[in-house]
Amino acid sequence: MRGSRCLTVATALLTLVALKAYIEWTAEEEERFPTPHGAGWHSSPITPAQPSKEEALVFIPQHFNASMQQLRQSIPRAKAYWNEKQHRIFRVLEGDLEGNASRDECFGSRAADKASKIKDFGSYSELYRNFILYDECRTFPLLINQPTKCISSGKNHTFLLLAIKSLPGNFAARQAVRDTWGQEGAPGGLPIRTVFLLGTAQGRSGPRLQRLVDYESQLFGDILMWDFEDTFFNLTLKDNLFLNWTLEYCRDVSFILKGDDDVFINTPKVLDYLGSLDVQKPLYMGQVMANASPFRIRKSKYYVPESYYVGPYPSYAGGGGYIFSGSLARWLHFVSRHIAFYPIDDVYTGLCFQALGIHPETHPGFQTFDIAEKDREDPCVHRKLLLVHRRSPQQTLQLWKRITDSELRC
Amino acid sequence: MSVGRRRLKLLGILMMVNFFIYVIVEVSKSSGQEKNSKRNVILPDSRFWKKYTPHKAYWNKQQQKLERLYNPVLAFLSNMTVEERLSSNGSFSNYCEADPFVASELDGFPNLPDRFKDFFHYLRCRNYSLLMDQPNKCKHKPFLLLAIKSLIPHFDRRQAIRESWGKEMKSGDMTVVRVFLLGLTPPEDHYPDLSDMLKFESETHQDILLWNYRDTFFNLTLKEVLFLKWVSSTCPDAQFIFKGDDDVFVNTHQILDYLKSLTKEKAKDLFIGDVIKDAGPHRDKKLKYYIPESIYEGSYPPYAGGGGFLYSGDLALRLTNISDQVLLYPIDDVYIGMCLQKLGLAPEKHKGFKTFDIEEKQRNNICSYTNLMLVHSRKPQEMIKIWTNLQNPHLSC
Repeated sequence: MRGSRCLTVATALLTLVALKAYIEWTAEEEERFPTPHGAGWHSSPITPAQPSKEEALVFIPQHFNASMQQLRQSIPRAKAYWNEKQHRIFRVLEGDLEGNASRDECFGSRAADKASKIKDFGSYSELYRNFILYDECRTFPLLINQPTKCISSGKNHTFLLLAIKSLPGNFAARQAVRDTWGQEGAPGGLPIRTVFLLGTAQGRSGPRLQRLVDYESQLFGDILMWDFEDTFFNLTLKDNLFLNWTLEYCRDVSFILKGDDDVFINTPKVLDYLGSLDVQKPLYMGQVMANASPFRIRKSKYYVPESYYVGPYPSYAGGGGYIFSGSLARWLHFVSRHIAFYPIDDVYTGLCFQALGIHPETHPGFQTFDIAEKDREDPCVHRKLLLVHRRSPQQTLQLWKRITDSELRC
Repeated sequence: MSVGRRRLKLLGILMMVNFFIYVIVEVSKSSGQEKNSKRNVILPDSRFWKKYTPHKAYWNKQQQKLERLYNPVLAFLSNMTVEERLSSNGSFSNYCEADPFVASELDGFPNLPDRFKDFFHYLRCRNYSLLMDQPNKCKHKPFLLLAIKSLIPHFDRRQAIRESWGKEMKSGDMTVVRVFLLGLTPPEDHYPDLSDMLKFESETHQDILLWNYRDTFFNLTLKEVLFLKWVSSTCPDAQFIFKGDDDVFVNTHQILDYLKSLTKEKAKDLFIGDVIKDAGPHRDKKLKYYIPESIYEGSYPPYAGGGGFLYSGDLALRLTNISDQVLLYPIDDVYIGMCLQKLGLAPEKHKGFKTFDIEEKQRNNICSYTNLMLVHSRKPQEMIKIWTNLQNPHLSC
């Protein structure tokens, strides 16, 4: 009797346990279980993928008048804004016309007058219209200067000045340049200095990066910043302001390399090459664009309307990167006052050199249109180059590490 | 009958009554969960549990193992709690050494691209510390928390967001606060060292969250999980959260108006965005989203595109909890879709989220931005321009 009761109780117990298990199982999908706290979220960090981590310069343009005449002839007397403007300057130079060739006017006061000279001015993009309205304005305050940049080379004057066109927001590109091919120093006794050329962050439509750029300049001392809106068409202005700066603060530099912040420069090879040259001989070298003419495709960044300029372009070195003698800076500056600003900066530089009677020299080591795709990661190919466009900050750091590796056999 | 026998009998009867009450309570509890089912007895027409079939693909297989660990019945049978089971299988939670078994368990592991190898070696590691925190960000119980996925070098995008749609503001009792979510961009990944600049930025703006993990595309899921943990520890009172990329434009006003119009019920489970349904892994090796067959099989649950989505703070806390039960998956927005599915929820599509941009000819028309919530992608200057134009009081659309 007692045994059967015990059995009943035991059966009831078991049924209950089974029932509970069943209920919990069916309720499983709805029910949430608290997360385990033993997972050690607050335990000490373990990071597997963590970064385990002048002398006086002898170049004087001897045939200046002749080269200026040549330039004059190469520019068609067409009914286009720039052509007419430049021919007017030529006439002023010859004394045919009264006027001041090097006008520096910053208020766009003759806006209506300018607009009326171009029949389809209204169809120009805003960037173009602004460029034209202010194209005689060449003076802008220097917001960040590096007055001792070239003095810091000590007794030896600066051999090579890397002048890199950058934009305020390109912090990573600048840092990659500093860490790699733009390192300052004096390898082989030839002092190198680096400056980044900046305007202000995209004008009215910000973002306001001034404080961060100021801080960057404090840290690295290599920023030159002027108070103009840093746009594509203002690169000519940037060039011109840089020439002013060079004449004031880096007059004795032997060579100047002007380039973009997204190029890769094989600085050791550039130094080797420049070291082998006769410093007295004027140099203007890069990847030469010959027989080029204005782009007429509206969507292109390089588009030039026919009512703005008609005619061929002079031979010029592609703006991604080119080298010229420091001694030419003052002559370039001098001649630029007689040549109207042109919206494409490297074409403008080409015009100025043509006016000086200096032709660009081509060097196969400049690859501004990049190299064959299969070679883009090859350090041996890059070791032979002087400059290649374009590389991202990450590619730059990676390539630099590889081409400077002493164990690299090519 | 002796007194002893009578007592025993009474005890027996009492015990039986107790069992009875217990049974009735348990049964009514379980049927109470289906109050709406009109008390009909539901007879399953097929098996009501899924038959256990082991998966072949690595991720699915590992997820299955994880689910078994969290299975309370199995835990019960092995006489342990789920917590005990988890801690006895240490390799399943926060294991931060390179997983020695993945190479042999994942088919074709040696031939996988490095990003997969890195990801799966450290699949179970989630405890990365905060290098830059904003502990006081949510002091005033924000109405809306903007969390923007960014990369260290994107200083200009962050600044443009601060000056436009990401402005922190307080209107009435509603506050909007902003954080940027960053990981490390280490020299091994060939990034330049911008740590000094970042420190300066963080001190200036107090809106950077930086964790010490590698900021890669696959690690965006880690960013997601770490952010969710941050929300539950530092910002649990945020009513709503917007999470998105640093190259989108967000019409914050439109979002606030929408959120204010929500009913309490709808607000609780809110999760909206540009929802992608019936998608599966991409099998084209050249794509950023490529996932090989050996890693994942099956389709994806519905998920909201990672460009930007909006959800409730309440749901964020639930997502944080459930995320422990879902293995990290290399695509972050799919991962959140998986977590939602596990919670029995699905993201809801809202047509104001234009992650594939608007028609080209409409892009310069400010009126096309007044009614949308998000558009991808816009450059820093464009963000500021659109935002400035939207503030124009004379705007008539």
